[in-house]
Amino acid sequence: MKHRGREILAIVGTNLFLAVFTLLTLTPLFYVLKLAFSGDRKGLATLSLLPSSPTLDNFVTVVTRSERGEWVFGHHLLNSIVISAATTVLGIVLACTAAYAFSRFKFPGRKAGLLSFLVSQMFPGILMMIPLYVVMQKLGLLNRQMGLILVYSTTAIPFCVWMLKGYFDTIPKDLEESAVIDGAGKFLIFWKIMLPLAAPAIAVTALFSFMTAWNEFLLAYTFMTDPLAYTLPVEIQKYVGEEIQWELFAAASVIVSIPVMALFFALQKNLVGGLTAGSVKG
Amino acid sequence: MRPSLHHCLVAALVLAIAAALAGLGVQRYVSTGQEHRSEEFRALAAAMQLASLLGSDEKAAVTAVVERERPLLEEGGALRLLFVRRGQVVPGLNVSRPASVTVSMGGQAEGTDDERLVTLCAGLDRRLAGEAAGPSGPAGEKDSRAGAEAGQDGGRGTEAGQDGGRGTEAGAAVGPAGGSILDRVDRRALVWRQGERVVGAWPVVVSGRFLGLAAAEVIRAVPAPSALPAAAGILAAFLAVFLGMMAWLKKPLVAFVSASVAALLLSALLVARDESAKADAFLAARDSAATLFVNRVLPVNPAAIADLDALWTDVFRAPAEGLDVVSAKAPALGESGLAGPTGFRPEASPPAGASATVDQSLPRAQSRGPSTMCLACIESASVASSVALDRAFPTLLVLFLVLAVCSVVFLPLSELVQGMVTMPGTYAYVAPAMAGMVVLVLVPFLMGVGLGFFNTDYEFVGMENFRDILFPSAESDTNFYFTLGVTVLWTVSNVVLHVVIGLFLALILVGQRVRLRGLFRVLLIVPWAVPNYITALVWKWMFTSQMGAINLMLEAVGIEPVSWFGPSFWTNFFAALATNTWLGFPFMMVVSMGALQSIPTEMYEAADMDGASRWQKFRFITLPLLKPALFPAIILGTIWTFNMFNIIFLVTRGRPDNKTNILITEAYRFFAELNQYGVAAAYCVLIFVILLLYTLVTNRVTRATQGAFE
Repeated sequence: MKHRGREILAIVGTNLFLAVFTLLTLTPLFYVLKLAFSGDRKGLATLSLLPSSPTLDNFVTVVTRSERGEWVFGHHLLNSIVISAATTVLGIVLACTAAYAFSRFKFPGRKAGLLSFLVSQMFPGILMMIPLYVVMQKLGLLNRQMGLILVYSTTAIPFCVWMLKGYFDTIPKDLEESAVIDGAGKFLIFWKIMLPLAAPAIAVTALFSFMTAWNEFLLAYTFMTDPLAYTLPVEIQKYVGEEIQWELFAAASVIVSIPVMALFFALQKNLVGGLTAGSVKG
Repeated sequence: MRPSLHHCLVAALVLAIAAALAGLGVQRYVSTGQEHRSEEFRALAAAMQLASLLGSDEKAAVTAVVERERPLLEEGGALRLLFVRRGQVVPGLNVSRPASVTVSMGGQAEGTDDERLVTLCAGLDRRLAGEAAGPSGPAGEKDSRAGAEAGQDGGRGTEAGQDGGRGTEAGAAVGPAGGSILDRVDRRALVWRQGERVVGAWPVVVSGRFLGLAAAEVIRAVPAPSALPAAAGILAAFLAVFLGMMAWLKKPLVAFVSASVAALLLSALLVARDESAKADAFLAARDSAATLFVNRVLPVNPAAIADLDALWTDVFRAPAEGLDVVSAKAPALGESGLAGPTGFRPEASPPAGASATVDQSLPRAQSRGPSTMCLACIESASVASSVALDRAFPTLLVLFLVLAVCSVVFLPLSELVQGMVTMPGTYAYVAPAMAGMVVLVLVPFLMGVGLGFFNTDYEFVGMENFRDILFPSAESDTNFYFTLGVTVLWTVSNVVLHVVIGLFLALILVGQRVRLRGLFRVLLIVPWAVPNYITALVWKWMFTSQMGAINLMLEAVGIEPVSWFGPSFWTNFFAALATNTWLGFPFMMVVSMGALQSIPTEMYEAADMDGASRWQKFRFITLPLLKPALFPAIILGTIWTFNMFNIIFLVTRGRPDNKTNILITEAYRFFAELNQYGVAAAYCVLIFVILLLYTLVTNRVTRATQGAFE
C-alpha cells in the first residue's frame, strides 16, 4: 500500500512540475496577449495577466493600416501568403527529389553534395547579403516575389534534405525491389511509393520551408524596394522602429504568429518522428 | 573505373570556362577599381550626410530617392559625392540597405546625366548663396559645434537614409538647370567638365559657418577593351596544350596542370599589357583634370584651399603610393592662389612661378596646361608600368588561386562528368536543388569571401583586413579575441541549457507518469513556433526596467529591480541568454523525444530483470542510444547559436560598449555602422573557418554524420 502511495505522489509531482514549467514557458506569450488587448498604458505596469481595459483597438489599427490610399497591411499579408506558399511548394519539390537521390543512389559526388549542404549552414548570412543582392540584380529578380521565393527555398533546402534523406533511409528497400520486379521505373517508385511513405517527414519539410519564408525579415526588406511589396515581418518592424509602440507590435505579432502556430500544432505529431527517424535507425 | 579521355576533356573544358569567367570577372572588378554599386552607395551616403548637415533645421537640400530600375548613369559610369570637413573626408553614413539608388536632382533638370549633376551642384550652390548670411567664416570657427552636429546627424542619418529611401520627396532645393557649365564657376561652386569627367565642389556653409567642402564627380568608366578575344585566345591555348599533353602522356592531371600554367602565363601577359595602357590613360586624364582644377580654384581662404587640396587627393586617389604627393604641394597652391588678384586664372596663362618650375621639370605637363599639382602626377613612364604591375598583381594572384583550385577539383570533376554521362537520371533528381544552391548560396558566398580582400573603396588590399582583425592594434576599439570568447561562452551556455532542459523534459514526457502528454507537448513546443525576432522583442520588452514583467516579478518577491540593459555585461548577457534558452530548448526536446521513443522497451525490461537502478538505465541504455540523434542536433544547434544574429542584435545590440556582441553581430557592426564591408567580410570568413574546424573535429570524434554516407 505504501508503495502505491508513493507512486501517486510521484505522478502528481511530475505533472505539477510540468504544469508549472509550461505555465512559466508560456508567460511571455500571456504578456504579449495582454499587451495586444490593452487599451491604456496604465494597466501595463502590473503583474496581472489580464488587460485592465480590454479592447480590440490595437488589432483594428494594425489590420486597417493604409498609406496613400493603399491598404498596406492587406498587401503585405497577401505577399506573405503568396511567397510562403510558393516557397513551401518549391522547397518540398527540390528537397524531396534531392533527398531521394542521396538516399537511394550511389553516384560520384554524392558525399560531396551532402557535405556541401551541411557546410552551407555555416555561411554567415551577413556575408551573403551584398553578393546575393548583386546576383539577384544580375538575374533581374530584385523586387520580384520570385526572387524571394527562390532565395527562401534554397535557404531551407539543406536542413530539409538532411532530414528527408534520414527518413528515406529508414524506409525498407524491399518495397522498391518488389516494385522493380513489377516493372515500375525510378520515377514511378519515387512518386507512388516513397513519397506517400515519407509523408510525415514531408509535412515537417513543408513546415520548415513555410516558417523560413513567413518569418524572414532582413532579405525581404533588402530585396524589395517597393513599400507595398514587403512581407508581414517588415510590417512588424515598423512598430518597433524609432518610436516603439509596444501595443501595436504585440497585436501585429499575434496576427503574424497565428498561422505559424496553427501549422505547428497541426503538424506537431509528425515533428517528433520526422525529425529524428533517420538518425536513430542504427 | 577511371574516367576516360572525353570525360576528362569535358571536365577540363568546364573548369577552363569557369576559370576564364572567374578571371575575367576579377579582372573587371579590380581594374574598374570601384564597382558601380559601391559608387551608388557612397553617393547616397554622402548625399545623406550633406542633407543632414544642410537641413538641420529645414528639409534636406539633397534627397536621395530610391527608384527602381533606374540606373544613376549608364552601365559602367559612376557618381561620387564626397563631403570634406577640415581636410578630412567625412566617412559615409550607415547605408545598411543596398538598393538601387539615384540622387534626385529636382526633377526639372533635362539632358544628360552630366548636365544633371552640374544642375545639382548649381542648385546647391544657389541655395548656399541664399542661405549663407555672411562670408565664409574662418576655418577656426567650425570647430566643436560643427563636429557635434555632424556626430548627431550621423546617427539620425541612418533613419533618414531609410525613410528617404521610402520615396519621400524632400528635395525642393535644387533648382532648374543653371546656364552653361562655365557660368557656374563663381565664388561658391566649382563645377567643371573635363573630357570624361565632371567634377563639382562647393563649400558647405550652414548659418554662415563654413563647414567644409562637398564634391561630386562623375566618372565615365574607361571603355574596357573587349575581353572576349582575350578569353577566346586563352581558351584556345589551354585546349591546344591540354590535347597535346593528353595525346603525348595520357595523364589527365598532368595535361590539365600544364595547360593551366600555359593559360596563366598568357593571361598574365594580356593583363599586364592591358593594365599598362589603362594606367597611362588614367595618368593623362588626371593630369589634365588637375590642371583645370588648379586654374579654377578660387582662394576663399588658405584653410579652405588646404581643404580643397585634401579633397583633391581623395577625388583623384593616387593609384600607388609614389604618386600621392599632391598634398605635399598644397602650400604652393595656396600661396599662388592667394597671390592672384581675382583668384582666377585663365587656363592658358598659368602663374609664372608655377610654370617656371613645371617648365624645368616636366615638359609634358606644360603642354597640357601647367600646374604645381601636376608636377608629381606625371613622373615618367616607369610610374605607369609600376602602376600597371600593382594593379595586375592581385588579378594574377586571384587567377592563380582559381587555377590551383581547379587543378584540385579536376579529377573528381571528371568522375562527376563520367557519372553524369552514364546515369543522367540520377543527377536529374539532384540538379534542381544543386543549381539553386550554387547560384544563390555558393556564388554569393565566394563573392563575399572575395570581398574580404578589399577595403572600403573596393580596392584590393590582400590580407590586410585579416591582419587588422587577428593582430589588433592597441587603439582599435574592439578586440577579436574578446568577442570570440564571448561567442564561445554564449554558444556553450546556450547549447548546454538547451540540451539539459530539452532532454530533461523529453525524459519526463515519454515517461509513464505523465497525464495529458499531448497537451504538454504541444504547449512546450510553442516557443519554437513563435518567429524568433518576435521572441527577441518580446523578451526585450519583458526586461525593460520601467514596466518590464521581469522587474515587476522581482519586486513582487521583494528583490530590488535590476537595470538589465545597464552598464553591466552580465545582466545584458543574461537577458540575451534567457531569451535564446527559451527559444531553443523545444528543438532539443523534440529531437530527444523522437530518439527516446525509438528505444525499444525490451531493453529497459531486460535491465529491470538484471536489477539495474534508474541511473544505470539512463547511463547505459538511454544515453548511448540517444547519441546518434543528439550529436547531429547538437552540432547543428551549435552552428545556429554561434550565428544567432537576431537575438543578440535585437535584445542587447552589444550593450554595454559592444561587449555582448558575438562575432556575427560584430561583423554586422563593421558592415552597417562602420561601413567597412571588407572587415565585415573578413570577420565572416573567420566565423566560417571556426565553425568548419569545429564541425570537422566534432564529426571526427563523435562520428555524427557517419551513418549518412553509408
